[in-house]
Amino acid sequence: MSQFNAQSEASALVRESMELYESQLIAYAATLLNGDLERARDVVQDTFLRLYLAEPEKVRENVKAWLYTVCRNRAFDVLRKDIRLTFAEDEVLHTYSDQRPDPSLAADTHELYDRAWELLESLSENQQEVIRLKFLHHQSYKDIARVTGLSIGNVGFLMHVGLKKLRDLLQLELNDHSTSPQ
Amino acid sequence: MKTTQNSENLDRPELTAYALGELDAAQNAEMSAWLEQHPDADVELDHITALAAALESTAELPTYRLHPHQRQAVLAGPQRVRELVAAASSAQRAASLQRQRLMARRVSQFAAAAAVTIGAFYAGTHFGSPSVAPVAAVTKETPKPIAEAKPTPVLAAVDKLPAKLEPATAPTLVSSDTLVKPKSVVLKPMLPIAVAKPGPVVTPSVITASVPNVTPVVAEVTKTARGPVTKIFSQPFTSTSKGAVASVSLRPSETRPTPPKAASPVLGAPLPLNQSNKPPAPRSNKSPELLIHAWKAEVTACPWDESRRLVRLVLQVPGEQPAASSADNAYPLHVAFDPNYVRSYRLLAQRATTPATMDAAAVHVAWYEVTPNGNAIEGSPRNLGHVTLPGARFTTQAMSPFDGSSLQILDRSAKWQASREDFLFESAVVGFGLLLKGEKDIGQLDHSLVLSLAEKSLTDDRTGERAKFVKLVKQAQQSTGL
Repeated sequence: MSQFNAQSEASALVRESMELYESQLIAYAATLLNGDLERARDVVQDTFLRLYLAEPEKVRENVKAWLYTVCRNRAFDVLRKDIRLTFAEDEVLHTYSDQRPDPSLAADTHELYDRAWELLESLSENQQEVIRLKFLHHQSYKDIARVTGLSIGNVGFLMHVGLKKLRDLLQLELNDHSTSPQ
Repeated sequence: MKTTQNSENLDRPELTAYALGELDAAQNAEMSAWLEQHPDADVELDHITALAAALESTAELPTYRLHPHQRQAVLAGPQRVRELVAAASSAQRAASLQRQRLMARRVSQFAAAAAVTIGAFYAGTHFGSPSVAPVAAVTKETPKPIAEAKPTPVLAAVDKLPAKLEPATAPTLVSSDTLVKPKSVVLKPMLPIAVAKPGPVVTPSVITASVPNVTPVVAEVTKTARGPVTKIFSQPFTSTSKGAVASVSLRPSETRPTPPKAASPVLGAPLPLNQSNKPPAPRSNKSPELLIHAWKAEVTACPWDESRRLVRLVLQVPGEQPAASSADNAYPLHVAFDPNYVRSYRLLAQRATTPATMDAAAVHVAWYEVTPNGNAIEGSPRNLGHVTLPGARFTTQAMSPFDGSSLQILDRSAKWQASREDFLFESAVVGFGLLLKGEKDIGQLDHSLVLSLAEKSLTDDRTGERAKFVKLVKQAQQSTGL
C-alpha cells in the first residue's frame, strides 16, 4: 500500500514538474548542448524519468533545482560522449560571435539592451550560465549554486563580473554607434 | 587616486547581489548602511538594476515540448521504471550465472590438467617407462572422474542455463541507451495541477470583502506562502448621502497560524482544528467574541490625488483564539463615514497577514479613499467617521470593556510625505495594485509615483521585500514603456 502511495506521489510530482518546467528545461539543455534541441529533449525526458527514482519527500522541497541539476549533469554526459560534435558546434558559435552587430540595432541604449542577450555569448561559459539561470530561469543564487556545484560566493562573483562585462560591451557598442558616421 | 579607490570600492559583488535582491536581511541592512556612506555607489547600483531589469524584461524563452512519444514514455514512467528494474535484476542474474559457468570451466580445466598429471604419474609408476599409449588411454577416461568431481553442483547449474543468455542491460538510466523508446501506452488525461512552489508551509488565505449593502462575498481562495496577502478592489466611489456604512468582514480563521504538525499523521482522519482528539463540542449559534489587541485609523492626503484623503485601518488580532476555530465566524468591521465631511468613499484594498507563530498577532488592514466635501475648517482636526466591530473586545484590561464605537477616524490634515515608511510602502503597493487592475479615477497615479513612494520606504527594509517591490515596479514600468 505504501509502495503504491509512493508511486502515485512520484507520478503526481512528475506530472506537476512536467507541466511547470518541461519547456524551461528543454531550453536550458539546448543551451548546454549547443542548440541541439533533439538531444535536449532526450536529456529532459531522461531527467523526468529519473525523478521517478528519487524520493518525493526529499525532492519536492526544491524540485526545480533538482531537475536543473540532473538535466545539467545529463547534458554534460551527452557532451562528453560526443566531443567531435561539440567541437564542430563551437566553431559555429565562434563564427557567430565574430559577427559585428547590426548598426541599426544600436539606435539607443534601450535598443542596446535588446542586444544584451546576444552579447552574452562573448562572456565565459560560467558567466553565461549563471546569468541565464538567474534571468531566464529565475533561479536564486542558492539554487544556481546547487545546480552548478559552485559555491554561492562563486555564483555571486561570476554574476557580478559577468554583468559588469556585459555593461562594458553595451557601452562599447553605444560609443561605436555614437562615433560612427551617419 | 581617490577615484581609483572609489571605483575599487564600488566593484563589489555584494552590490550586485543587493541589486538583485539576493542578500539576506542582515546583509541587506549592512549594504544599506554602506550605501548611505557611499552616495557615489547609487549610480553603480542604478546601472546594475537597469541592466538586470533589461535582461529580465527582454528574456524570452521559446516554448518547447517533448515529442508525444517522449511524453507518453515519461507519463508511463512507473511502468517503464519497473521494466528497467526488472531488466536490471535479470541482467544481474544472468551475469551471476555467467560468472559461475566461467568458474566451473576453469575448475574443470584445472581438474583435467591435474588428472592428466596424476595419470602420467601412475603410468610412469606402473609401467616403468614412459609410453604414449597408456597416457592416451588415461586421457580418454579423464572426463568421467572430472564430471564426478567437486564442481558437480556448478556444472549442474550450468546445465540448467538457457541456451542463449541476454546481454547485460545497464541497471541505471545513466546510459543514453536507456533513454526510453516509444511505447504504445494509452495516456490518461492530464489532471490539472496546482502550482506549488517550494517554500514555507502553505497556508490558505481567504480575503473576504463586501461593498455597502451587499452580502459579503468570498472573493477568492489563494494558496500562498505565509505572509501578507493583499486584495485590491475595483469599486466606484460610494456617496455618503445614501447613508450607507462600509463594511469589511474579518474572518480570524483565515489568519490563524498553521498549527504544528502532528508527530504521526493518520491518513483519512484529519484532526479537528483545535488539535484535540475529543469529539467536537456541540455548535453554539452564538459566535465567540473576537479578541483584538489593538486598532487604529490613519488618515493622510492621497498621494495620487491631493484633493482626497487616504484612510488606513489596522487591527491586530491574536492568531490563536476561540473565534479562529471556525471558518464560519465572521465579524463585520463597519466603517461609517460622516456625510458632513465626506462626500464619497471607496474601498481600495484589504490585507491580512498570518502570524508566524501561534502566539503572535495577525494584522488586518483595510484601505479607503475618501473624497471630502470641503466643509472642514482649515487647521482643525475633523472626524471623518467611526469604526465599529460588533462582537469584539480588547484583550488588554486597560482598554476593556470594548467600546464598539470608540475608534474615530480623525483627519488631522496630515500630508502623505510626512507618513511613516510602512505607510508609504503599503500605499505604494495599493497604488501599484490599482494600476495593475486598470482602475479608473486614480488622479496622478502612475509607475513613477509608485516608485517614488516605495523608494522613500527603503531605509527600513529589513526583509528586503521593499527593494524587491521597487525592482518589480521598475520592470513593470519598463515593460509598459512609461
